[in-house]
Amino acid sequence: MYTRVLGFFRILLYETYSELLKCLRTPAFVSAIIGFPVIIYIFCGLAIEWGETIENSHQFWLVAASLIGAIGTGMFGFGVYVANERGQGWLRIKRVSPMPILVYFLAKAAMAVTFSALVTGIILLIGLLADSIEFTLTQSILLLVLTALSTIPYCMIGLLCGFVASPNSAHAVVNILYLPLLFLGGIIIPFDVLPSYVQSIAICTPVFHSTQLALKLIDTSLGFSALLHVLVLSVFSITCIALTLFFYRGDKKHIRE
Amino acid sequence: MTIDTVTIDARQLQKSFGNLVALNDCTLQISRGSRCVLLGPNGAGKSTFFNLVLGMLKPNSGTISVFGKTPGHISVRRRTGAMLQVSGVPSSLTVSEHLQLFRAYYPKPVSLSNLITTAGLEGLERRPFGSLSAGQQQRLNFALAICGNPELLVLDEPSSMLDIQVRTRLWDEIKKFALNEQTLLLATHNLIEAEQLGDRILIFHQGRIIADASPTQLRTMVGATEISVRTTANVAELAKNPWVKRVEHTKEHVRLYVVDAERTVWQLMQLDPELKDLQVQPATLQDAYLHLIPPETIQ
Repeated sequence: MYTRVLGFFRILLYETYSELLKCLRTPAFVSAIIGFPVIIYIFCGLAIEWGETIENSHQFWLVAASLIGAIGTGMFGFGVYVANERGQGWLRIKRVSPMPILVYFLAKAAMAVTFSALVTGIILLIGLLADSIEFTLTQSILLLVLTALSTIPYCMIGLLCGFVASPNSAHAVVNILYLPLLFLGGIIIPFDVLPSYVQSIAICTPVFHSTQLALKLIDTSLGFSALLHVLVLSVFSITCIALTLFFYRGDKKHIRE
Repeated sequence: MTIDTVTIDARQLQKSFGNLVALNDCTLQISRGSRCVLLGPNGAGKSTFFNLVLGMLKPNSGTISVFGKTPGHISVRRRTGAMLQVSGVPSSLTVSEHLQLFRAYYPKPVSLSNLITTAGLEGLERRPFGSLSAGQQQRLNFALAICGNPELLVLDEPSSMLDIQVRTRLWDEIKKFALNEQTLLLATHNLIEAEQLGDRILIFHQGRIIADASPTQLRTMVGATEISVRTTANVAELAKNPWVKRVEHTKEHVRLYVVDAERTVWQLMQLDPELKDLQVQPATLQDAYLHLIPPETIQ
């Protein structure tokens, strides 16, 4: 039993390391995943003076841009990658090897979480260098942990898209979902600025709950319980996993000549 | 055969996809150490059989076991290596990174240096997969398949799209690997590859195994020797001899597949002392294959 567990973690370590190397060596991935939230932060958080429009705007954009990084990494870095590897047959090679299939997904999730923390770290560093944030060390660490963990529900959403859509269209499907989710969740446009009918849709999205959870760090959340947000995000993730498993089994049945 | 000597045991396998019967009443045993080649046109059932062996599909009826266990079981996967036709191998990882990763999957992997030597990847260790030639990429795929020193090696068209030199080198590597007790299961459309690597040929057609024999037996089935000649003589009588397996005519040109070449040549000379362009050569696996599955039967 001990050897089996040790073997599992050994494979996980190798797999995660390979995933990180793969992504770090793909300039298009790195520039898109890191570049987009960093640009959002520089433009919206540093360049534009929001005055009274957004309360505590510097801190808001710091949190929002970090979260945009987490969402993007989860949906594109995880979901689209899995879809591509499924389409090109690489996932098939993994399935016939003795690698536990769980390791495959865990390693990709670990990669996404690491990248997400990296994005937050870079944004924090830029904010620090620009001397525009008033985050304590504890707040910074909490933001790093929170954004890293926030990646997981979006990995699950991305994964589901990767299995529902055909491998070639997964990127397009994720793209279609990504921006509306950001708008609806109150990241790009703060929640209280949204029209009331959009607000009622927004509270059903996972992004709203991730945002509210993260905004608690700077005391600008709407005041719902943190537990409620965690619960909603967990239900989202579990539903996505269940649906993905359903489609994964269907995928196995459709392997043929 | 006992369970220890049988690698694959399939009984009355049947697999359908909707109305399409991909595999029908397929029964065979593959013993340890045998080198089995699966031949057949596209859609004949080879890939379905592969997927059943690898546990990627479940049969609709019948049973299949690999090393006495259900295909796809972790203990089976640890003893099996597969080289499938895939693209999408991560291009930014280097040869040695790929090998190290796959070695981690197995409890007792082949050493890195051995893998590199066996697959002929010397000097390429630090090269990313994407920068390798097609032949080098295939050699890496082969190395990944043998990482765990598998007892069963499954190869799906390993030399497709390779030039002759690279193909020959890959065959040598596969032959070297299969020298021991390893069982080889290979699907190909290349009949020279089948003759080079296989000691048992399974020909699939329309979801059934229509031939299961050694390459020599198959050639004998059609006639072990091919005699071609230009003659105006009527060879119809000749075709009635039991040692003449098959006769093909094209205008003045006659091709005979026979098991007794000397006697046939002597008879031909009797029939037509003026005959021309006499050629005697061993029948090939292609002759046997085309005899079993004539091109006109393929839709």
